[in-house]
Amino acid sequence: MTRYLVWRAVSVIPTLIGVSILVFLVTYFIPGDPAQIMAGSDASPDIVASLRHQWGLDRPIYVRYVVWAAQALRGNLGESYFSHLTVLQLVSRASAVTVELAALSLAVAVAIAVPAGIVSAVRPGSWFDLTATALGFGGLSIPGFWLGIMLIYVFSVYLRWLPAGGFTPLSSGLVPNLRSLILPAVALGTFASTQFMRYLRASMLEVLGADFTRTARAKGLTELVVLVRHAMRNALIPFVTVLGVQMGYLLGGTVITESVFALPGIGRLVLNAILNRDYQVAAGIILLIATAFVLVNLAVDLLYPVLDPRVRLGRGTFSR
Amino acid sequence: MTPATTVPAEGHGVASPPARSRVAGRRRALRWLTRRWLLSVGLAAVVALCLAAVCAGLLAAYPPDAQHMSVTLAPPSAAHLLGTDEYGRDVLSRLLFGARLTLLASSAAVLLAAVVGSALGLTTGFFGGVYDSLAGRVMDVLFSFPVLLLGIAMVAVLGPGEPSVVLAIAVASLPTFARVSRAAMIAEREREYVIAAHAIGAPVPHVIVRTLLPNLIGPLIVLVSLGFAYAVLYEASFSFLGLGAQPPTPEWGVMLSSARSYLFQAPWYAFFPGAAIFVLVFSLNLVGDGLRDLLDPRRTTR
Repeated sequence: MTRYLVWRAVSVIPTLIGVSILVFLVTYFIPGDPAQIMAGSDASPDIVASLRHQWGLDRPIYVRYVVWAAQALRGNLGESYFSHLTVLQLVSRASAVTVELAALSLAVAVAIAVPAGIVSAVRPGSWFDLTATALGFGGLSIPGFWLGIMLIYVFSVYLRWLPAGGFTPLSSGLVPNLRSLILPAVALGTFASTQFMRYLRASMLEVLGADFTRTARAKGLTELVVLVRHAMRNALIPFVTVLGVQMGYLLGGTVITESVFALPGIGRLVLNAILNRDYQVAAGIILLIATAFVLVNLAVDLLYPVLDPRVRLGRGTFSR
Repeated sequence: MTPATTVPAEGHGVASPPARSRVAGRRRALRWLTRRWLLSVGLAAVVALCLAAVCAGLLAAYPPDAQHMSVTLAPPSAAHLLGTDEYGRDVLSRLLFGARLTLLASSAAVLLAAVVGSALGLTTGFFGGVYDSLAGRVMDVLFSFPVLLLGIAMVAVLGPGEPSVVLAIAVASLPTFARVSRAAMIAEREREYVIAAHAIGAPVPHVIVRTLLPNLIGPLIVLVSLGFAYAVLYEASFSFLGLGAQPPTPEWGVMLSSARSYLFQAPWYAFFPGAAIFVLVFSLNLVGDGLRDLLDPRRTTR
């Protein structure tokens, strides 16, 4: 068991190295010379050359990678060519928005999916189940940005209940803060909730047909106790893995949601960095997000045997 | 990329007591029928949308870029069935022409991912060894990026535009195809008919393509139709973000992005392009789900 945990933790290292190489290559191959962009199109070649030298852009690619990776390990991800703030400063400023948005979306998704998935599984084939499955199927196909725009139309333009965009920080009060994030959280959480519901319904169905559930019923336990203490506890275990995977979709989805709702989060930061060719910032953020995603999945995998003692060694790279 | 494909088989391992088996059987039959019915509806919708895209020149009442400055942001009417945009262009005509780009770009992306991904998956699964573990590592790395971010990074390198979007979606979907085909190959490669093919001296490419592939194609077809749905969503997302097709190209994501500024005056303008994306993705998902029930042996043998 310990060997599995150690092996799984160590296996993250080559992945992270690969991630860093890929991110570095992306910035390397981005067209346009940042020194030229910074200096302006009519700058003399000398100035451009000195800027290139100052940033180490004239060194060979592998040297630049090693320097970049070593700096990144120390938490130095470079600075913006435009605002001259470091990437970490920019990210820490923006991450408050994104983390809160992701957490709220996850909460929305779980709040919809858990009751819907469980009731569907307890009464398979019922009207509730059919409706929930159909809605889930629709939610799976809805473009998040369209859902966001339609929510803005209904709740901001038409009903005037909620702000159409922008972010109110928590320091201005909990209610204004939540008001500014509830529509984005619903727009972003809908897709995840359909995924959660499908998984939960399937694993609930499996657990409800298992021998231990029948034993629990045969013992004369009430249906509620069977459901909550015996079935749900086991059905929620695979759910943890789905949570980890969905974190990645949520992190990617924030790019769109933050753009639709004009939220100053990490997604907008990375999109603007790319549109402005501010590639130190873009690379730094992409690296941070990918690393976070890898670590979240590692945490999920390490948590899994704690939750489910049946899991034993021998799961290969692809069988995850 | 397509998490839906890994949903555990519903009711797998359920031992129905004999008293309930007739009910369960009836329910299963009903399910069988509705699934096929939904599959046909989805297929019909996808075919209809493809036809509409091909015949856009015949169906559209106006050229997609014809401006009618006297009727900007007009609500739906007999002259303009879905209204007009900020330059008085007919929204329905633009949607019809936009379908071409979306369908072409997303099918190209999925086919590219399917061909390269399954070639990779089939060969790694068949040969194993260092090649397999190396490719596995690379796939792990690709899997570490949220799809949209990977796409955004690639668009940054290649410059905005539809070709970059196609490539970005293809690369992002590639690991799923590789993983599924590799797993299927490993499950199948030791089977007797494969050993028989080896025994009669069939060359390795022949064994992979002619002997094994026909038996592995089911899950891949399912993956293509589900991947197609995701590709449409991502294609529209990239254009919406300004990374794909650029205005004034008639493209659904681009239209939706411009419509955002006129939400107050002309909400229908934002509604229709999104609805078009939704209908296409929904139909593709219906097809994918229906095909999975038809083709996935794990689910159909129940």
